[in-house]
Amino acid sequence: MAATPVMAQRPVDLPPLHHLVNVKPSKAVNVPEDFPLNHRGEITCETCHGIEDIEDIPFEEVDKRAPDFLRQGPYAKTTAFCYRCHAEKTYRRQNIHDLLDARGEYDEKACEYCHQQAPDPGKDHTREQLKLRLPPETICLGCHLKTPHLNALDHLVKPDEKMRRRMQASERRLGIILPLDTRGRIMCVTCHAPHERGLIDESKPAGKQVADGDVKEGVVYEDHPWDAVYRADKQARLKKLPGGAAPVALYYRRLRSEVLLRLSARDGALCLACHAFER
Amino acid sequence: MKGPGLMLLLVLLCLPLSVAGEATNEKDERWWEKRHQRADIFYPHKAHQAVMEADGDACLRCHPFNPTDIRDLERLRVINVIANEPLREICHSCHVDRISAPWRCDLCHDQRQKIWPQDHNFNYIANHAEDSRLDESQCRECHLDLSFCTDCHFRRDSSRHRVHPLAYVSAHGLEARFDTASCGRCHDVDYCSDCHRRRP
Repeated sequence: MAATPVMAQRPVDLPPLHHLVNVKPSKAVNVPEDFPLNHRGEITCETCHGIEDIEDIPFEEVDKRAPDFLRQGPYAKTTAFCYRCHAEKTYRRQNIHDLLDARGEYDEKACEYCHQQAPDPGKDHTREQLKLRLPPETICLGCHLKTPHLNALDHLVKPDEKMRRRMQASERRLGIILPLDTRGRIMCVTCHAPHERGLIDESKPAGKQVADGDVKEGVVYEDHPWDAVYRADKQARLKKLPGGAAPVALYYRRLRSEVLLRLSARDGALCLACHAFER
Repeated sequence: MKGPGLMLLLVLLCLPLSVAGEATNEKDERWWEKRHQRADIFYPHKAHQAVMEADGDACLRCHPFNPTDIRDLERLRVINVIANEPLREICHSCHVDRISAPWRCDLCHDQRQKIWPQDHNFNYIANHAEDSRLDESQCRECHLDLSFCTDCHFRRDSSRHRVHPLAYVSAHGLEARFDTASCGRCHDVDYCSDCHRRRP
């Protein structure tokens, strides 16, 4: 185990859970050239913060929304700043949806993250027989946020009778499942297929899903020329909110490939399984 | 006992009202159910469906599902609304820039007064010439078809620009004597002489 870096002699009054200062970054850490270290090659306040003499400003008075509060910011996620120096790959958690190995064999241990016992993917199971560790509406929340993407919150509701009939018709017509929770509400797995493509046979409603994505790669977006004008428009709207726009960033990208979805969202098929338009 | 009893009765009577009020507010917040009632900008989803499917990101183009780590659900609810709001540039990329879709403003906007510049509100016809010479591209942001200009400047048989009431021909002489310049805002001198020469 690597030795814990030792604080230098000069004490710095840091807020809780703050990164250490006055330590030399290890060889595994790649500090960008324009993130200054002190003459001993140690991390100081100035390494990460672009605000002049930040160490002399009381913590409460530091403008944490200033773009250069974290050097070369603002950052949509704090972790994005961490990965300027630390290798993101080494901090990545296991993707438990990546169930199949190169030979097409599945890893039972990965199954047991969610199931008490790995079910046979070749058989049909009732919800009880799946022996999920938690109810299906909460099981995703061990790793994912309840609302990990925009518009998720508005979907976690009980569809009305008209929409339920439309969903049932889509299930029959498209040979898929759009499962609801025990109280009839939409949950993550109503739209998302939790199992890697190929684990459950595609002829089974639970196994059918979009084909173009790679579960190892995840959802892939591509930049779009509308992004600049979209950001400007949305930032102007967000600034009018109490609390202002920071730290929310609304941006415009297009889907290049999608994964673990019961139908394609890119061509709207997934949305239209539930929604219909009068005009 | 009379006082508390009366109070209880009042509370019980008001309860259904307040519950109904909450339900109404909750219903109001489901703004997407009223999207067809929004008269200021009309977006016919069905008419766009085939084009959007072919072009990709059919629904996601305006209803983004980008990742977010906002955990404050009240704030997220507001941000979802902002994220879903129509963006002029997205609509205009097809309807104005590329003209690959119908480009009549009133297809989507119910009142042109809401979208035109403020200086158009009063007698803009008197100033339009100078503005168009200074920056014609400003005009073309909305007036995509040159016939909007030529119908007045070069044609007299167009039915598009009816600024005078019917049978105005009988009354025009009097007004022309009061303020001849006002005729000149739209009509050149030949417009008068073409008729008056025939019937002196």
